[in-house]
Amino acid sequence: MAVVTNTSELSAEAVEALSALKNEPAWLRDKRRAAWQLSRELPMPTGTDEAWRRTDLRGLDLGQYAAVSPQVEAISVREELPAYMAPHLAMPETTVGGLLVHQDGNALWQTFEADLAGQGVIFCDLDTAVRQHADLVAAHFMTEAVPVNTNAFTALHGALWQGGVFLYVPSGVQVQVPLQALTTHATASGMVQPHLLLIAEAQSDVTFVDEQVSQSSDLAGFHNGVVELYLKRGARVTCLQIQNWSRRLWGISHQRAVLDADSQLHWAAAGLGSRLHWTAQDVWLRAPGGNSKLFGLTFADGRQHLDYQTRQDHTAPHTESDLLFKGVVLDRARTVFRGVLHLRKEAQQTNAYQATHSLLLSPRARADALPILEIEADDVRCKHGSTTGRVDEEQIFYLMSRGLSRRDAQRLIVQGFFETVITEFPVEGVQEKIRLAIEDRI
Amino acid sequence: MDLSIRNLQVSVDDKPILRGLNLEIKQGEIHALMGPNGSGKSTLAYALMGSEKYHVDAGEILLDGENLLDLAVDERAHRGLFLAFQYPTTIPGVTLADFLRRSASAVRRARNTAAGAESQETTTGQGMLVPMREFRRELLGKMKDLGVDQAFARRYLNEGFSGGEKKRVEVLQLAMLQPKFAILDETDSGLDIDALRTVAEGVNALAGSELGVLVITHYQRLLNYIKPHFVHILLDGQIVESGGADMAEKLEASGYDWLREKYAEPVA
Repeated sequence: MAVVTNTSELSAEAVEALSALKNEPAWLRDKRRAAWQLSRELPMPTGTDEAWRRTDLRGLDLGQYAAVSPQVEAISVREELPAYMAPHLAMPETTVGGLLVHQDGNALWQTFEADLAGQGVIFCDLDTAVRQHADLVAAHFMTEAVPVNTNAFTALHGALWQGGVFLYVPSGVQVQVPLQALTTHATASGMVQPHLLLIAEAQSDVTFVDEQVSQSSDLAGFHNGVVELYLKRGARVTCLQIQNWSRRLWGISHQRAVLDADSQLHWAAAGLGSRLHWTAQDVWLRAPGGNSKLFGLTFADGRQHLDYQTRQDHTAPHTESDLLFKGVVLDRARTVFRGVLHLRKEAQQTNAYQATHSLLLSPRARADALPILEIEADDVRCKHGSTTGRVDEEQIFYLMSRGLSRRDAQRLIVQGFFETVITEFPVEGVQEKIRLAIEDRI
Repeated sequence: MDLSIRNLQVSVDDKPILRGLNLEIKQGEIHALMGPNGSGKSTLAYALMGSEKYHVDAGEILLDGENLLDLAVDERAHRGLFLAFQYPTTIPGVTLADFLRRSASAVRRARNTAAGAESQETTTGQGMLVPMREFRRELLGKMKDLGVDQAFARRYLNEGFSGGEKKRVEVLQLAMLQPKFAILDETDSGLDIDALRTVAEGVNALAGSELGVLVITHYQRLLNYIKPHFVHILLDGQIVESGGADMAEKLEASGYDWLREKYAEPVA
């Protein structure tokens, strides 16, 4: 009984119990312990920190969430997957090379094409990777991309992360079909702390799709996730994410990609769910020739609060980054986009761009857009632009004059507004998922 | 069936523009409305279609006896009114084909149920749309007739279209929606002679016993290609002269100044 109590509370005992339960190697257990210690020492971010100024965390009581989810055995046939997952697993018009399903931090089900495995591609849950590919994990897990000591949340994640995806593509291997992960939250007041570690070796090419959902839209929970993408020399990675957690979940995400020379990242994220979600989405271009394209799509209604903090960090010359974020806000919802373009002294001959567009559909909807330029190099090209507006009455009039009701006209305009960013999710099945999710809510 | 405008008075931002306009168009007739800049031509077009910016202070617009002033913009479209815009707006991210399928479906659905009671709120869920195959065949056929490149079907509505392309696409919409009365607001402006000819041919092909047309134009040029049965001159918000096709030629020869002098209000 004592163990159960301890693992449901945020405590050093929970960390020990979790590590023991997973029978983790000493280096990982020690990493969890150190992270736990840090999580006690680092202060919770507050409004005095610029990145946290627009998200009020005072209502977040970590004590009310179970720190560790009970272990669940993997299932043996796909038909045993819970019914609520079916629409999320479906990817119309799309063939995937592998699927990895997690629920509450437990790997439930996985498929993976044998010929990809034969080429040395590794696609498995992170616990398995810790056992079978310890060196790869130890070298990359919360080291350079998202260090444990970033803040109290990353420290907490380092201590109590549970469940995760490990994707490794060896040098020169081109994975032609997308790999898909579904990460779900199914326990009321559960703490969900999944991790994604993606390593693309030199000249490799891969597309990864990750969707995060709750079992039902009113399930309370807390998400504290970390995403780490490593692109080695000349690697090409397309990473597509759908965040569609329950409307009673509070979420924090730290996501960062590290780009080596001549690598190309195409990273598109859709933020649809959560009561409140704060996401740091950073790219670090640390060697010449790196090229990063970030795309974001947010749809917020009711009293949702979605806060995106992006950083395009250029520390090497001849690098390029671009960013396009589009958001629609309804009711009393609020979105925040604060995008930093940081061009360091070494980052000469660099191009960095950023554009954000918000559409407000209700009088009380709010969207904040804050581009921040930190430019230390003198031979660079930088451009940023942002628009925030309401639906154009002229467009409505035009569409109504063609027989569409005001509602349908507005819906069509919103869909069109999103369409130009939806096409940047270059997997047909993902585009359909996003279109459907939005259509349901307009 | 006719479109009957009676004593129409319209103001924009409290400034009276139309001051008691009367006009009667029967199905199958082509009327041209001419007048100098600022006489109220476009105001009439927008007021007929129901733009909220144009406030109707008095008068009636009757379509087959039903007062359109009580109806919203989309309901006027359902009853069979169509406005080809002078400056069609751009709708980014919405393809011409998708848009037209939705609007054709909405209009046809409304007309099919028109015989019954009040039409309910129309929605464009997939199930309510004209079947894709049938729609594509019809659209591509009409695009061909009007000399619109079929690639336009997948382009975003009016985005990056040239002036001439926009006008052709307006006429394409007219052909797809098959209204009873069409208002062409300065459809000739910005068109070169070839585009003008194609657009005019398109309108002529549609104009017949089924369609009544109101051609609004500043110049007589378009009327070389679309032969009106009647020509009306609008001056300071009122129709001051009406006549046959020869009226347009007279205007072309002598301009609007003689009309201004003839109808000038005495200086108070």
